[in-house]
Amino acid sequence: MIERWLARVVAAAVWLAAGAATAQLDKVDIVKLRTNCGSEVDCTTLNPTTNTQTSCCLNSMTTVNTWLWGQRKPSAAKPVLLDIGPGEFGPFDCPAATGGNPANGYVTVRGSGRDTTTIRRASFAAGSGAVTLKSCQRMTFQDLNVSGNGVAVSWSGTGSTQWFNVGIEAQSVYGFFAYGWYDEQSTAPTPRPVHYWFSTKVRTTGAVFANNGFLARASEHWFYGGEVESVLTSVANGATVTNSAPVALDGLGEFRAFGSALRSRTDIFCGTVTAVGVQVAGSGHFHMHGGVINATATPDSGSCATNMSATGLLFTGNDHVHTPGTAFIVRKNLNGVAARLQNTGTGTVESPYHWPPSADPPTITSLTGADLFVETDCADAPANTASNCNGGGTETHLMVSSNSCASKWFDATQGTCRP
Amino acid sequence: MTGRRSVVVCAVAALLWSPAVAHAVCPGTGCFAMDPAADRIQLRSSCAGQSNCCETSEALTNWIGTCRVANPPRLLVDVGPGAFGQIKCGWAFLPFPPNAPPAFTDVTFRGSGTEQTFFKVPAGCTSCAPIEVGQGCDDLEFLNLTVDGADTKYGVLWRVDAGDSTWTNVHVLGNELGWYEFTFAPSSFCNPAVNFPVHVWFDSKIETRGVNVGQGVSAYQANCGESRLFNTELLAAVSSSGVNLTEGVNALSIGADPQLGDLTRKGRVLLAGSVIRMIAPAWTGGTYDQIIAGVRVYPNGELAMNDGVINVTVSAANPSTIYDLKVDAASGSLPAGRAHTAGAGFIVTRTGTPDVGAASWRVAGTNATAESPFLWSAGTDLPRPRAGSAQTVQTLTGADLFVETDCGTTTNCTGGSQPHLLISNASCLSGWFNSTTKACRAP
Repeated sequence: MIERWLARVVAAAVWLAAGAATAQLDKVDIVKLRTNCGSEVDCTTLNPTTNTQTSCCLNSMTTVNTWLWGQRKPSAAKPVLLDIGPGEFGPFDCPAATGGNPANGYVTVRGSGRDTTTIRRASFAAGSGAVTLKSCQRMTFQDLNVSGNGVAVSWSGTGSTQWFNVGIEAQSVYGFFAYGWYDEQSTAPTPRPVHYWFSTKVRTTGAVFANNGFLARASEHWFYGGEVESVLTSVANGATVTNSAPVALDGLGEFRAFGSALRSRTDIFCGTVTAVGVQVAGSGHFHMHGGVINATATPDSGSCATNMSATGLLFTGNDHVHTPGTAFIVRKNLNGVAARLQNTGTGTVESPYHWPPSADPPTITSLTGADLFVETDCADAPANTASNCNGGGTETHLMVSSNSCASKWFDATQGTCRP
Repeated sequence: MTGRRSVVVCAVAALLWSPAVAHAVCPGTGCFAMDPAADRIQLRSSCAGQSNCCETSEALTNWIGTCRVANPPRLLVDVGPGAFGQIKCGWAFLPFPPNAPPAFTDVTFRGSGTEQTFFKVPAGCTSCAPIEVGQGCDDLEFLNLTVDGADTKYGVLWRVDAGDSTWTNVHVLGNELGWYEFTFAPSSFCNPAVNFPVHVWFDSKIETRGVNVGQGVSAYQANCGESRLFNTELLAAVSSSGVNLTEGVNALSIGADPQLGDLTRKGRVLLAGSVIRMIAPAWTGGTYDQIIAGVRVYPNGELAMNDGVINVTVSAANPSTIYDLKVDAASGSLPAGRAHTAGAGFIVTRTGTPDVGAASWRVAGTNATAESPFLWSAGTDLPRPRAGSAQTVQTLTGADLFVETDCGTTTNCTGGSQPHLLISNASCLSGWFNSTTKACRAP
């Protein structure tokens, strides 16, 4: 009986001591990560029960990951700024909480500029990126570059992040895949994770199976004033590329872009490919207002004798796309197909677009009614009879895309198909 | 004296009961090892072992306003993680009350991230704001932080006789007004000829949650000044159905609302790469004018927005008329509001049932004052509010184009295969003119 009572007392003392220790390390609200800490206080030397320091320093990301989540344990009431100096550092991990502990998170990871501070994962590791976040709450990343081999940022679980002035890069693994952002889960947890992006550039290169700036399957992204680019640099000429799209949505992924550029480029690649601007499958949901979707399958330099195709927006899903106010650039190579919109899904594509006026229709395919352009060389003709718009005329006629017309354009001024 | 009475009460109470601010002592309680000529200081939860460091917002602003050398350099305040009190600069409800906090200029407040640095109001102060700026304050900059007015009505109170500001990567949150250009004080009516502050926002989010509000709701209320917002989100999400509003409900409010009495107000807002969202539930209480708008441009207000989206989502059971954009006519000596939104997207949604039939507008005003052309997505039916509403969206004659894809030789566009261009036209019963058949579309 006495032993049991003593055991309880000891356990309570240990518990209280642990609480006190946590409270003392809570005084540290700025953790510096430097290539050399110099005279700065080493975080790992702080006494958990007597510490008075408000900042300390570590010299490797491995130590940061261990000390931050194992010792300091940031919380909503006691958040932390991880202040990273110039240089290159290893992968940052925010692990899922275990044993019923509160979720991890509540850290701002701030670099010294996106050309000055880099978080890098040099070799591929399944389920991990240069930044790996698992059910992390209220994380902020700013003023740095994240570079991953295969995956730059890996996300799973609930939580939220905010990204400001960040560069995200992913190079392909064995030439197979490159993801700037990768949702590890294919279905959305509850509550749904939400991520805000400001003034950020995401770039993926060199993959043949999946070359995606974002593969969002479970999370919701609000992307302001940035660029997402998927480029086939380093893919061997003659290869077959199955998926190169800066934004790919599946499952319950959602992406909303404003004042931004989404680019798919073949660069110097010459092979079998359809460069896709945005790809929406499953119950993916895409909005974009302002900016441009650019799918370019023409070589940046030199010549390419292979037909390469380009699609601005490829929809195979069952949910919704809405892009009024967004410009499109779609460029094929030789006899490839240039499609501004393709819809083989069961959902809704709301993507009106007004092309520049021209003496010839744009060399693209689209959906009926979605595209307008003014043809500038049409000749006078009686109403409801076809007008000659192949030169010589001076009338300006409004043409509307129509897959019921052999020419794919309906002359809305004449009320007939354009010849 | 319409509206904001609680601010008056709060201010009078402050005049009567607040002790004189002891900011003559330098560095004052709460600041440590301060160099009056410093160009960089800290605001931290604990200053242990730190110099040029303050532990409270009040101590910090008192020191900045009263303890620095003459003609000081521009000051950077590095704010650590954690929650801090109000930043008050020269703010007082009346022009020169004895307890006005000191004014200062040329100061940058740099936080440790929007999710880790917060400015908040004192407990129980429901009519003040985490940031209150008044006369004598100019060229203030805020970045990487959250202005957390979740416990009060306002996020930022910016009095009209204050100066310019810049905001980068900031989250502002209030319950009635996220950003409020305060024009109420008797001696601080807006006078654009004398002072017309410019506020520039980058990469930010300004939000009002509209919880238990009793007056108006705006994420951003531009009454006296010019605001330029880049890559920024304005969100007014009224979450309470028990509201009894006495002022407007808008995500963005610009210019002079004649019903508020201050006819000196003038506002100008320019947005690029930005989003305006208005969300409201059902309510039955008497609202101010039964109008909910994404953007309300009152007389003497100007809006320019050439990309991004204005998105209004309201319960179908809400009796208010809803507008993505409402541009008001001239009122007395005040000129009509003006808006230019070529290139912007628009979404109107009424969710759920019952649909009480209140009208849903994309844009209202005149074509002279609301320059707002818009091309709707093509379809087999006229544009309607999303989520299944049976009503059609109202708009200005000639402002909206729409390709109906199932037209034929008849005008009602049913069952055909021709895509006809329809143009909004209030003279047509259906509201739409078929430009291909050159006749009104059948309703």
